[in-house]
Amino acid sequence: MAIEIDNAAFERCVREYGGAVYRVAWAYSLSRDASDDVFQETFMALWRSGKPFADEEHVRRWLLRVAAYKSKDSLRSASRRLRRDAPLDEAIEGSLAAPADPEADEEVWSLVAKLPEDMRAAVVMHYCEGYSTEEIADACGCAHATVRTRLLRARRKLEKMLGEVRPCRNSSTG
Amino acid sequence: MQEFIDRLKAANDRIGPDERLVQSVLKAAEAPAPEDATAANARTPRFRAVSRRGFCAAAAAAALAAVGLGALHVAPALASTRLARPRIVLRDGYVDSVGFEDGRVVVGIRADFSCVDAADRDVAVSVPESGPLALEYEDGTGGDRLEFPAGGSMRGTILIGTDATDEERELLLDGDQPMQYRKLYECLVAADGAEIVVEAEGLRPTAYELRTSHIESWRHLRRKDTVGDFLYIDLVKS
Repeated sequence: MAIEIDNAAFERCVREYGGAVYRVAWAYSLSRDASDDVFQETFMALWRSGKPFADEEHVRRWLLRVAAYKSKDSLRSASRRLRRDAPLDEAIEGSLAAPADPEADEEVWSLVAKLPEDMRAAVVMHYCEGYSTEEIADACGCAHATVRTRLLRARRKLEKMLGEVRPCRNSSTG
Repeated sequence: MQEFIDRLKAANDRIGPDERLVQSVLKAAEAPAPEDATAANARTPRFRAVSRRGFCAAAAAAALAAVGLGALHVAPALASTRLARPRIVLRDGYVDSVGFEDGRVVVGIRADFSCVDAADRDVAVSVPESGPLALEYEDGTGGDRLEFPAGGSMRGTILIGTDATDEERELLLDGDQPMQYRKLYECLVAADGAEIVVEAEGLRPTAYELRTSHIESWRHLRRKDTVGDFLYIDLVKS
């Protein structure tokens, strides 16, 4: 059944897909400001689209696609780049819902931040959000094979970085 | 590796929009309904050449008119929306004119200004005789004063497809006419770095620099269209 974006449907979409949209933006930018903007702009685009959607899946995919495009656009902006260069702890501040161990989270994001943006987004969307590679390809506007390649390379890079981190830890504790 | 993925997943689960941001977006839905917004935007196709000197002017005006876009307009009317950062919102703004004058692309934007800060407070726009455009709270409490948002950027939007009439949309979306996109792209590229004069009611004209270099190719424009997305063009205060 077609879905018209009226007030009720809009609120439901914000509630239901808001987290996913925000985390896509976060995966690209690792910046609270940029994620806030992308979140806001993505849902404004939904509100202003004025078009019916075929079904829930159509809405969800459309939102992810728009969020990914807007995230990439925001990264291209020079001003956003300046903000992205802000210290990671400052960027993360306020974006986390009471992390149990803020330092552990920061360590994780610091490693992920070393991946190129597209790789980082693919990793987060696939391993954390559970999207299939087809869904990620659709959202990012690239080929399915490209996503798989990005995931493979990201894993290799992460494994290498983790291998470099662990010996240091051992030496410091031992 | 799996251990790291688990930690990443746990950290990612803690990322999300705060409730204030959600509420601010929901507020936007209390403003004009999509039909009304469309009707308001229908006022935006008001491109006219201020002057047609040189190739760029003719090309820009002709291409924009030809594809029936006519919808370069400023940020949507979301005055009630809390913005992520203090930012000027142009309420009910639209492009009044576009053209080429004395070697510059000139876009006249008519708009009512409003601004809210991160705490939802209305901020008045004051225009000093000299110096940068500055903002201050309407109630004047504490002598708070905000400088024009970092970089002084404002954002114009070209709505591709979504604002066009059915006939225009057909022309725009016709896959056999990629030249429409190419023409538009060439015009936008030619206009990169151009000075934009923003003329708002009650405010002195302010110059901005148009940034279009982030538009990679005409295919970029087309891809935007396929997702019903907006293409953003940065106007940076020069």
